[in-house]
Amino acid sequence: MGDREVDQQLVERAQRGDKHAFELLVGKYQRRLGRLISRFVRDSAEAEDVTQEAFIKAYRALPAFRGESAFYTWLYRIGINTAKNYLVSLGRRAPTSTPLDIEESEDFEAIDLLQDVSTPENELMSKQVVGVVNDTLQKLPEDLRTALTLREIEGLSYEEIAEIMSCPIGTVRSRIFRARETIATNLRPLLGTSNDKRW
Amino acid sequence: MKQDISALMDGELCDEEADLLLGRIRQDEAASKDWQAFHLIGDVMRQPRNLPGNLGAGFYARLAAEPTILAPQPRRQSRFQYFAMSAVASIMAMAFLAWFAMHIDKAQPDVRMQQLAQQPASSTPLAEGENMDDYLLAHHEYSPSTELRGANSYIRTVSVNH
Repeated sequence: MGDREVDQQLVERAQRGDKHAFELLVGKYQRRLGRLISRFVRDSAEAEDVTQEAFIKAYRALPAFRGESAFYTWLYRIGINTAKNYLVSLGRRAPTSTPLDIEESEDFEAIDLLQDVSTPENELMSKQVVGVVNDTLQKLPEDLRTALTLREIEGLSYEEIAEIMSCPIGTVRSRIFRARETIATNLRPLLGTSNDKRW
Repeated sequence: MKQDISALMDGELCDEEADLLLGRIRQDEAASKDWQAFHLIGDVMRQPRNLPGNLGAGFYARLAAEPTILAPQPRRQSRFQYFAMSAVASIMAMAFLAWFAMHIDKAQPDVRMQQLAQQPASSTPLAEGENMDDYLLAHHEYSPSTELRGANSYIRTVSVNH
């Protein structure tokens, strides 16, 4: 079951009335959608409101989602429309975007150059999270760090990683999990500690 | 379970395992947090700059207040079901054709025989100069011995008189 199939299964569960399945999709895509929307809405508080609105709209529109496209493509389209409508409602002009923008928005590094968006509190928390992840990653044993990097950065399957690292697939699975769990253990003190539990 | 969550988000579980695990995550808040944390790690590794925070509790309260959707599900057929249904349909079609052929072959002569039996037998001798071949040729398409019933009128027949 690939990434798209996992999403589809969560969507089908949500379509059967399982809101928790939709929450898992929110947990997975909230930052990516947030980044996309922040290309249109530069203020961080407004961008978060629009991101929330986009997810609520997506939830309401879920019965119409038939899986012809990937869930994230569908979600991003809703996100862009919501952001543009928001700007129109404020009398601002939305930046133009193409379908290519939707597909490649995750890799759009220039987002950061457009940004000024974070509040000091959010920026501090964001830096702390990034710091913990990077520090822990650097301290991981080489085989764990390599396995996780090949998966998260290169997007390779377990089979491909096993071939590169000359080890069984089960070992790859275990290494990736151990790497994630080590980082998550160090992150937990930060997660859920702010007032509105934003992390 | 945590290791399964890690494999699930990488798309490395089979359908049945994934379905089972998603059901378990639903009932386990800690598992949901692991799901969130593992995805956060991936997002940070891919794009450490401009990291939006998680949506706040207000969003989840708002989502909880939304009417629960219940969409009709398209029925998903497994590959086994697909082939099984095809096989059953083929067998049914063949059985129907076999039954139909047997029924036609048997029933039609019986009806004709009953009709013939109700008619008084004719003992009229052939008139002088009347040819039996002409009679047989004219009634050939009703003969039960042929498998081309009904098509005989379109077949040119050649006979020789001795």
